[in-house]
Amino acid sequence: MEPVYSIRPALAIAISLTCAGLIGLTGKRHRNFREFWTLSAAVSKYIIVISMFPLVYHGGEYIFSTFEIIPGVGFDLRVDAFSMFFSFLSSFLWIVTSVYSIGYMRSLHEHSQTRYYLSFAVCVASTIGIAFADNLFTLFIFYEMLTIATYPLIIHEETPEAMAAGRKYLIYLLGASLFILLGMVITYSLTGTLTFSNSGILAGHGTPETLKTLFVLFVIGFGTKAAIMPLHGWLPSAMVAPTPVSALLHAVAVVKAGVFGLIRVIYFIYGTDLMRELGLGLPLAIAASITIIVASLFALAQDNLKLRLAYSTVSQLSYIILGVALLTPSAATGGIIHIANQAFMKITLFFCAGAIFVQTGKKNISEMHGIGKTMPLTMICFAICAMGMAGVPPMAGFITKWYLCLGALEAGQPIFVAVLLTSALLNIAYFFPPIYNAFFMEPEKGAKKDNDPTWWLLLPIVLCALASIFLGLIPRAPFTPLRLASVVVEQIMGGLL
Amino acid sequence: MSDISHEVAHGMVEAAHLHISSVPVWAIAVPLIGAILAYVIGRRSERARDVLAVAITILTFGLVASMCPVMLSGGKIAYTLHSPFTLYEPTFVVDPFAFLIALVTSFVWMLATIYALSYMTHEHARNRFYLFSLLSLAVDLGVLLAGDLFTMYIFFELLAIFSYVLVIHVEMPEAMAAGRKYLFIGITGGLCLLAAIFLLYHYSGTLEITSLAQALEGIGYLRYLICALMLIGFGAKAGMFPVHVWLPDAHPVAPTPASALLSGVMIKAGAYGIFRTVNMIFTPPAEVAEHGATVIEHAATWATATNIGYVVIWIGIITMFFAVILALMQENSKRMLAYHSISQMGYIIMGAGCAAYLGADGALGLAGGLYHIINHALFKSCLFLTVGAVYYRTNELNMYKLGGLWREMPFTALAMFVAVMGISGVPGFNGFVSKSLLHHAIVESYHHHGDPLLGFAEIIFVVTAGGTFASNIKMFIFTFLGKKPDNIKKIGKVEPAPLPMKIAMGALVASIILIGIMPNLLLSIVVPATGLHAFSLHGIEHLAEYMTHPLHFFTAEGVLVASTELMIGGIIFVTGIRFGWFHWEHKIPRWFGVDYWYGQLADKFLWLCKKPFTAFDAEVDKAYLAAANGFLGIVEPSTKLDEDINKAYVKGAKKFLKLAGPATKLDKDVDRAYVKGAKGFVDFAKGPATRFDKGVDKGYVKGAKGAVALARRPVARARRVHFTGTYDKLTTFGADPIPTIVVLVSNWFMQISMALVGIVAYPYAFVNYILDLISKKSGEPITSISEKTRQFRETYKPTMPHVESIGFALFIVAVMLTIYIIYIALEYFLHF
Repeated sequence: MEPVYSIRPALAIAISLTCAGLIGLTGKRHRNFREFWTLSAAVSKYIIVISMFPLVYHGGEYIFSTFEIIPGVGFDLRVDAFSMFFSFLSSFLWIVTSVYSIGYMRSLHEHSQTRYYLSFAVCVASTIGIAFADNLFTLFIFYEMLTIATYPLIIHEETPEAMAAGRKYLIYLLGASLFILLGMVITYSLTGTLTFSNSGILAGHGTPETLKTLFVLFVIGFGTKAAIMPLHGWLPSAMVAPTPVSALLHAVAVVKAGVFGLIRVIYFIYGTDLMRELGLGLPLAIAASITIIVASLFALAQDNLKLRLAYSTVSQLSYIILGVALLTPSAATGGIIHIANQAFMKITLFFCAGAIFVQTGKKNISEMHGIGKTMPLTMICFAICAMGMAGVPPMAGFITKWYLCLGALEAGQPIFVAVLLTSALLNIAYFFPPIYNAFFMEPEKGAKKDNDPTWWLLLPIVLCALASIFLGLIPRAPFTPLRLASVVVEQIMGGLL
Repeated sequence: MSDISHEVAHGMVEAAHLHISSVPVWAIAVPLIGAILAYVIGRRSERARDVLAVAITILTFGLVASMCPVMLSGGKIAYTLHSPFTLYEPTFVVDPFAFLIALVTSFVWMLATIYALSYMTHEHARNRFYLFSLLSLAVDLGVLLAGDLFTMYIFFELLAIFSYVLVIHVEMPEAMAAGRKYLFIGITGGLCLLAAIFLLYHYSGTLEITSLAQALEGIGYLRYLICALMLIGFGAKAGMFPVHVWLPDAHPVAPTPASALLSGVMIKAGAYGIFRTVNMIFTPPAEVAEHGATVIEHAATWATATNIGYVVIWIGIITMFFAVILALMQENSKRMLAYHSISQMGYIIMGAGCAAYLGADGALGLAGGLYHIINHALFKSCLFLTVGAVYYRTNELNMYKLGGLWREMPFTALAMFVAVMGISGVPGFNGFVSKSLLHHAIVESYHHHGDPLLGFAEIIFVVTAGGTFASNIKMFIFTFLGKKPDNIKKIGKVEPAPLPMKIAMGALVASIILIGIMPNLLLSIVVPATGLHAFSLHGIEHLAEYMTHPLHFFTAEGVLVASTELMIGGIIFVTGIRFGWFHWEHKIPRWFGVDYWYGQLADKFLWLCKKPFTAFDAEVDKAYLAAANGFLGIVEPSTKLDEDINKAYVKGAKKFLKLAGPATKLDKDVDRAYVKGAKGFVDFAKGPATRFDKGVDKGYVKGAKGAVALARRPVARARRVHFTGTYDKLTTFGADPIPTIVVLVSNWFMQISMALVGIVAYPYAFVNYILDLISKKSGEPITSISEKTRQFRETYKPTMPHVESIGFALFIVAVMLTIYIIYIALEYFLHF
């Protein structure tokens, strides 16, 4: 299908940047107006993204090209199926998170809300930029932009702890991006181009040793954001950020940008065949497996709910990497689909953690006795998504598990089935105590009854929980992530086996 | 052999005909939807919910029972939910085997729900109970009616989760602990099952529940792993040794109707899975079976089934024996019944094992196992319900603290008696029939290859049956006979069980007796159910013979075995009471049980997570931060240097400013001097100069006057004397000029001396001033600059370069080296 030249990709990025400007101009004097900008930008961005959906869904592409920066590498945007997958997800969840943010920030009377919304808008713009980037260079620019724009959100509380976390964040992520830069330079010097291609661009260039070294550079670079162990340290400490930030950025946008970049490198820079030829999949899969298990073990030891969720995120992100690293169609489908499944479930869990904090001020699981009885709707959604995380059948997580396990067997590596199932058990083990405390313990005396939060907070929770059920119940319905993921896999591997 | 039985047997071996019908789906959907409906309605009206819940279970039972005609003819019902949107199209296949278990499941569920009407009145969270009870019913039927492993797995996993809520219903700490154990073992089992399903799917390419033995022939010992995983998965739910540990904790703590369902029905989902695994998936298909075990090329396939069967027989034997020993030592009636559930599951598992071990001749084992599933569901739920009825009225579960209740609760006593007879296998009650079949099966297994160990197994079988009788009759005697203990007397008159309870217990009692008297009634479906596996005609004919001639059960041999069992039971009971063997449980060390080791394992694991792993994580994180801090540490000296320079600047500036002080003073002094000078000048100008000026002026004036006078005089003198004016002029000059000059000179002197003071005295004053400053600072009078300099030299310590700055320098070197090495590496790799 011929690519369509259109300004829409640029518009999708520009709209949130414009929104950021407007938020800055409006300031806190007109807070309703300020939040109107956020919401309207979120909705219009979503509409722009969705307007590109049908063509991309049927295998088409949108291209927006500008000037060349270095010979052969321009500041170009391109929307293919994989871009659409990521941008569709993050722009949709931005709407949801915006609604939640408004409820959350107002309930807690947070300070510096203008800075918060502004940074948020920039973050989302960068995320979409990462999704739409046509080449590694453009991706890198937005990637750096995302890192920096997230910083004000992490240090939002401005406590010493938050500042320390912010510093840690910058140390980890800016340090890692040097590796990407180095990798990029080497790639360019080898091939003379950085543009992504469905079959990879590195095949036939350089010696195997070079390519292996280069791969390590890329894995360290993108893997830091994707929180592969032992590069995950920044993620749990970044949990000092306000909950909506943790929800969208540390469950969806930022960490998934790392995963997205890694997938771009694996399938669009290296290509499936070259990866298989070099045997790079297995080491990465092993690293991912270790992360899956060990992060789950860490999660077990946390009492702070958000920290537990953070370690769970670390573990779940490696599901995606594992799926991608196995290099078989089913596994790749499982990995890519998990970007969406994990996003919906984890964002709900974070939202619930935030709602609990807003309503009761509690952060630790051991304090959450009986909150399921006082906040029934919130905790039911929590329980659904927690079960989904563990891959209990009718929820979205099961679809992932199914494809990943099949993929592992396709790849002839049944050991990864064991990894996935062990992880599922550990998931139950660490998600069970909050549910257990919530529903089967008596609430403290004097706890408010019917303590569900306002609909600003509750609506996003319920919506995302429903989405994660539907994604598990009818995953093959048209226009669902699974369908889009199969389009992606078809493009990079020529269809399901 | 009669013609009829031959005909029936033939019908079984012929391929079963398939019916397409959505009844199975409805049987699952009705309780599923009904559960939510009941919950919603229950928030408004409890009575309406109770009625609805019972109506739903009756409707479900009706739906399941409506499949009976097809089943009796040995047919199958299949249905596929077609949907393009789901991951998988769930299929439902009902064969007589599944049907029979589903039938008894929905039957017992219906009665338990009726029973709950009155029992649950003294429990909290009733709405939740009905919601999850009905949901569990739906998914339990789902397990039984599912047509493929995938659908089955989904329902199986859900059953563990939904029934968890029933287990922990009372929310007491012990219930919570039991629930936790239940959930974890259930989920672990589920995951083992899932792993097995993945492997099966991968190697056979199908998820159908059918004979896969041939497809799995090529994968070597992996097939045993798959089988083991499946056995663990299903066995965890079935209470199979050694994954039974949750059962004695979980079943007693649940509310009685739920206990009855858990023990009577839900564990059967696990047993069902074991049968499907052992007797279907891992057994050769019909066409092989027809050739029998003698055909060489199928020998390996048969060997697999035989091996698995042998292991399963022993699992069954161990399960039944150890559980009955523990059951004998219980005080809590419900806990005792829970142990009996494990023990009876042992019989059932042994039946599955015998069927596989005997291969084509295993029809007896399968029929016995299935029959025992049905019977156990009936008498075990009846036992739980009677115990629950007593508990409902007396609030006491410890059998040693009960007694003499038969007068006040005659109906309950009768029901328990019948159920005890049933579980003990007394002829005339249902347990006898299935136990006879199972006994035949184990004896036949012994004769099959003449394995002496299996002969020993048969003895264990009989002793276990005796123990079952002993412990159950003990419960009956202690509960209903004898004298009332004090704590019961305190209650006063004990009311009989309420009507709904009586209905439930009565229906169970009726079915126990009915099956006991007319065993062929159930056999008419049990026999088609053996179509699970294509058994040889001979075996099925043997069964069908029983069906047409029910009295064959009551042969001298069968009754003899039964009476042996009862005799052993009697001996155990009497000696046990006599020597106090029934209180040994507390004497058994905890480490003797499997449970202890699971607990240890879990504890150690959690410890491992909390301590070393997390500590390790913290260390890794610390290492990062240390690295970052180390980097910062290196940066710090440079920052410090920067700061030092800055400080030096500031210091310099301050010093400069300090210096500026005296300078300013100097400046001021100079200024003052100027001013003074100016003043002096002005003074000079005003004073002497003016005076001088005045003087001059005066002089001029005088001179002029004099001149005038001189001029006048000479004119006058000239008139008189010509030189008189000069003389006048001379005399005037001589009188005035001298003082004027003195003033002038003295003024000049003053100016010069003042200038001299400015040049010489000011430096002196400046030095003095500095000394003054220094002496003020040190608090000591400093007499001279040289002294100060000496002191300064003494006190000053030259600073060495900081260690950090050395580090910084090293860092720079290291960075340079690293860059160089990277450069060389790149050059090498990239061939620049």
